[in-house]
Amino acid sequence: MKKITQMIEMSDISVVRGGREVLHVPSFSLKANETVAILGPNGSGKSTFLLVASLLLKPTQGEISYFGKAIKNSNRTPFRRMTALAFQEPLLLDRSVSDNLKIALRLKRPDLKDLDKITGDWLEKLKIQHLAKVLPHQLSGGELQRASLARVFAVEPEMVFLDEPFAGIDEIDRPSLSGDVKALIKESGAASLLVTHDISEAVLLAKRLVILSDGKVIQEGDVGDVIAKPISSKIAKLLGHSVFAAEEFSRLFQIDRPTGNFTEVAVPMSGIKAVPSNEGLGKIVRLEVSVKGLVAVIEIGNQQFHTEVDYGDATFSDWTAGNRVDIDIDYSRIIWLSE
Amino acid sequence: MDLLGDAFVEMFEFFLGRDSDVWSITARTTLICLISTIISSFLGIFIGFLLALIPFRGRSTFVAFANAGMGMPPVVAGLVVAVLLWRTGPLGSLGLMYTPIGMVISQCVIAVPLVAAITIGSVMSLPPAMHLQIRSMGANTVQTVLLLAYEVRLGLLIAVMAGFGAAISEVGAAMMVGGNLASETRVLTTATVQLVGQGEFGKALGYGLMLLLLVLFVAIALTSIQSKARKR
Repeated sequence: MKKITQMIEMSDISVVRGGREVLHVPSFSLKANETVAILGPNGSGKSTFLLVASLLLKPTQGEISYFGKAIKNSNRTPFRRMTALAFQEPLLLDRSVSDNLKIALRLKRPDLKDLDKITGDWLEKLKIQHLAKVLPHQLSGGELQRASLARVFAVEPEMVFLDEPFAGIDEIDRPSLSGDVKALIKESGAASLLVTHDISEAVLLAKRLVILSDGKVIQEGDVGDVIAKPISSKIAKLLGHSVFAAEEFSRLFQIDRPTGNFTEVAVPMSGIKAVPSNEGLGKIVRLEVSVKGLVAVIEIGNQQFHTEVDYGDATFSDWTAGNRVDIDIDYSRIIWLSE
Repeated sequence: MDLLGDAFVEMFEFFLGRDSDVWSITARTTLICLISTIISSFLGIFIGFLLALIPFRGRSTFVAFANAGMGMPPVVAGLVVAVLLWRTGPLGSLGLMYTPIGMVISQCVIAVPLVAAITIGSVMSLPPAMHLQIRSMGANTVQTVLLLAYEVRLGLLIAVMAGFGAAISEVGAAMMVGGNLASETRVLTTATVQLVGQGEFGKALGYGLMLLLLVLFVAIALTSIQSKARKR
C-alpha cells in the first residue's frame, strides 16, 4: 500500500473579501512530519492562510485535499478532527483547564477511556499539572498558552496549526515554552503549520519557510536558503536583515560591486556589528527593543541599520545616542539584491 | 388619604382570602407567561445564534430589527396579533382570538425580539475566533452552538429573565388579544386595569402586589442560578 506523505495540498486558492483578493496561493503542500512557517508582516494574509489550511475558512475558489482526499462540505468536520489549532490569543472555554482538555478529547476521540489520566499526563508535560482545576481567567498569559498547547497536543493530531503561539508571552517564559513546543512537535510526529512574524520562531521550529506579502507568496524554500538568499529588500527586511543602497554601501565600505544590476545590499544582523569607538564611522541614533532584544540604530552616511547591542569591552554608557561606533562587516554574508 | 387607607385595608382583606378569583387568575397568569417565556426563549435564542454566527447579506438589517423589537410598544404587537387573529383576519379561522393561546402568541411577539437581541449581544461579546476555536476542536454545528451557549450562559439567563419580564408585565396586548374574559383570559395585569377602572383600588393593589411577588419569585430563582454560574 502506498504511504501518503502529503498531509495537505492546496491549489489555486483565492480568498476574496469585500471585492479584494486577500489571499492567493497557486499551490502549497505540507508533508508528513514537516513543519512549515508562514512569515509575513501584519495584514499579509498569514492568518487567512492558516484558517483556509485548517478548514475553518472556505476559500472563494481553489481545491484543498487532506491525505490525498478532496475536501468537501460533507467531510470538513471529520477531517478537522484530525487537526488541532492554537490561536495567538489562547481561547480556552470558561471551564477548568482539565475540562478544556477533556472536551477536546471527547470531541476528537469519543471512544477514548481514562480521560483523567490522559489529561493529567499532558498537563504534566506542559508543566501546568498544578493548574488542572483552575479557570482560564485565573491564569497568566504564559499559563493560558501552555493550557491551550496542552489541548492541542493531547488529542494527538495528525496536523498542528499554530498562529503566533508565542506572541503574547513575556521574554522570561518564551524560551522555555518555545523549546517545549519544538520538543512536542518532534515527539508527536505531527505535520505543523506555524504562522509568525518573528523569523527566530521560524528558524527554531520550521524547516521550510513561506513568505507572504499582500496575500501572495513572494518566496518559499528551506529556512536557511531563504535567510541566506532573500530575493528582495522587502523580504530581507522581514527577515531582520539590514538593507543599504548598493552604491553608497560600496563607497562607504570600499567594496567592489559585482557585475549585474544590483541596487541594494542586505546584511543579516549577525553579519554586521558595531563597536563603540570615538573614531568610528558610524553614529548611534537610538536604542530600540526588538524581538532580538536591545538593538541599536546606527547611521552611516545616509544609511541606517540595526545591530545587536554587544557590550564586549564597552559599557552601557558607550551605547548612548550620538556616540560613534566602528562598523565591522562579515563580507561573506553580504547579499546583493537587484530590483 | 382615606382613599389610600381604605385601599390598603381592602388589600389586606383581599389577601385574607375574601377574593377567590385571585388564585385562579395568578395560576392562569403564571401558566400563560411560562409557556410564552419557554417558546420565546427557544425562538429568541435560536434566532440570536443564527444572526450572531452566520454571515449573510442583510444580516445587519435583521439585527437592527431585533434591536428595534426590544423597544416595540406591546400595544402595537397586540394590535398586529389581533388583526391577524381577528375573525375575518388571515388566521381568523383558527379561532384563537380571545383565547389563552392568542395571548401566548402576542406575548411571544413581544418577547422574541428581546431575547434574540440580548442573545446576539452576548454571543458577539465573545472573542471573534471563539467559534472557530471550537470548530477546530472538531465540534459539529450542534456541538459548537451548545459549547458557545455555555460560554454565554449568563447572557442567556438575562435574556430569559427579560423575556419573562416582558411577557408578564404587558397589558395592552393581553387586553386586546385576550379580551380580559373572566375565568378564561383574565390575567393579573388586565384584572388590575379593570379594577382601577371600577375604582376598586384595594383589590387592584392586591392584584398588583401579587404580580410583583410573582416577578420577584422568578427573578430570585433565576438570579440564584446566575450566581451559581458566576461562582464556578
